Amino acid sequence: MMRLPWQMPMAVWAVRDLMRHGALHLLLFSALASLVALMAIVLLLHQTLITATERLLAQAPAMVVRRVNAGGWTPLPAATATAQADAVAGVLNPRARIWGVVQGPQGPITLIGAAVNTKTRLPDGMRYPRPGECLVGPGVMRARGPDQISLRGAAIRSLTVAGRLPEDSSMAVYDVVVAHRDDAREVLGLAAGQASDLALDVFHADEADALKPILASAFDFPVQISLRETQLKRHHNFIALRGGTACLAFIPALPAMAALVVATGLLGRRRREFALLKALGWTGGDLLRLNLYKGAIVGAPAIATGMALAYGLMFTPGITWAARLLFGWHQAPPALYLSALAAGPPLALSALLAGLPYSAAVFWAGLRTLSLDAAHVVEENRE
Amino acid sequence: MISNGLSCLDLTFAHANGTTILDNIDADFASGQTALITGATGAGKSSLLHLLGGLLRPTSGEVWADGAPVSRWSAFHQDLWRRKVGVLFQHLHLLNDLSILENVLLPRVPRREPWHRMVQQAEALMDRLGLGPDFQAPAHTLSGGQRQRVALARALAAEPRFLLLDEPTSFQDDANTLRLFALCTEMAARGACVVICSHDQRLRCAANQFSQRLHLVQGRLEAQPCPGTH
Repeated sequence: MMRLPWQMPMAVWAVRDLMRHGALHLLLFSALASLVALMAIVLLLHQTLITATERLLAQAPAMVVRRVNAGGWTPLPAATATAQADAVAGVLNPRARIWGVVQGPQGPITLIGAAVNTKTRLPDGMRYPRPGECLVGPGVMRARGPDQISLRGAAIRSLTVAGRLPEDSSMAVYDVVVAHRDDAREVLGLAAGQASDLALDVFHADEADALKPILASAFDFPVQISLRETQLKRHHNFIALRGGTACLAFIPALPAMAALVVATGLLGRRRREFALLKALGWTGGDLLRLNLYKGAIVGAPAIATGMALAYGLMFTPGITWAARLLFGWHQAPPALYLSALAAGPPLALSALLAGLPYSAAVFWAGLRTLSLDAAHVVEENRE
Repeated sequence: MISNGLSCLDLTFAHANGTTILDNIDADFASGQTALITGATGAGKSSLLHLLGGLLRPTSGEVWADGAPVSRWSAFHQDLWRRKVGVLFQHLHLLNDLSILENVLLPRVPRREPWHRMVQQAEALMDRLGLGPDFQAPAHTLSGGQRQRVALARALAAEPRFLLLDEPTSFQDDANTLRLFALCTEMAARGACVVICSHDQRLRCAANQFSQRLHLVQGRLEAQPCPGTH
């Protein structure tokens, strides 16, 4: 053993004792780290999506008005609809939007028509696309893809990629193509002066529900109005459902946890050796302390490693398996972002879920040594 | 009964099957003295030593240490008291995968002493017992005599107040037996109570080295005169 200038021989001894059964303790370390990582991934993903949805919807309009007829959605006259909405007391900033889903180079994309006077907000430093140009989101095409993109809807248009929407906005613009308003209308099959829907804000968010019937009657065509709050609830339900499904991952985790607890107990159960230590002057408290030190030396780094692993797997760009498994995304998923503050509770919860039974097992194994009799060491060799 | 050392009062020990090993033994082992208990194999020497060290509980009677009835104490208090006891087991009970040094350090690990001091003292002790210089060798690589000296160093490592040695010279040559004597005498001179159980002929012949000599036969302890104590 190395000579260490250490004031805590028990801690040194705990490390040495762990090394005596190195492979088993390494296995225990790996199992605990994997378990924490598995639980933390599920919880982190759930938390990330909730946070992202709330942030996105906070930027969304308070109400969206769509014109409908017997066949479903239909374009609305932009100028008329804007004027009619503007006339309703409590409605702010009505704006006609041009958007729809069309076929992109690698699958369906969301096409948004923008121009300087359409009030569509672009990320800082980006200019509105001119006719024949477009801006593309990270999921539409690879970063080093071609400069031209072909969109197929009511018409087929080839547009020049004038810029790429930033990676850190990918939760919002992952599959988005922003084109000039006229190009978007053409691909979407909208006539001049038509818009896809009408977005608007309200003076008081609480009034949105009450404004709904008033607003509906303000138009001279039938409309369907959706509220931001309704959208938020729908997304929460979706995430809760998916998150609940993801929690099925906990089912294999439970027997794994049970096995871990039993293994921890068994590793700490060396009756004859502990009886010898008692015969050499160790007290039950010393043996308990040794078990706790060993448990902490294996458990604390394992839990930290598990949390770091989960964080890395979740937030390292390019890792797709979690989103594919849980949400069925087949392409590279949007990069996930979560503040340290928001990541804390899921990580802490996963550490607690795995750490508590593990600590209990360590403590239980230690407690058993309290009742151990030093006589065991001499029983088998009694004269 | 003495107030400074170990005492047995009407000490009886029987196995669970009813076989009586020790029968109403009364004996005092004073501090600062070295006692030799002889007896045939199976006479109960080891059992007596384990009773004196608090490793076994008597069937009846008591063991007193420094005037305290330690055999009556709860396991918790006995565990604490056992820190004052150094035992060399007949079967050694070394941890074979540990090094010599680690085996010797075992009794001192829980005592909150600086690690480097523990190591220094253990190495010095092992040097005296002729175990150097490779203190890192695993215990299972040692010869029988070396293993016994490691076990002895382990018993001495914590500078015990009560030193109980079971057949300490069974694997030792004459030179090492002399070393052991020297260490036991030194411990006794420092105030330790040293009790040795052995049927080694060399120890019987060197009876003048011991302050007290007892013979165990049929579960009873008989005092035997030591040369020069008439």
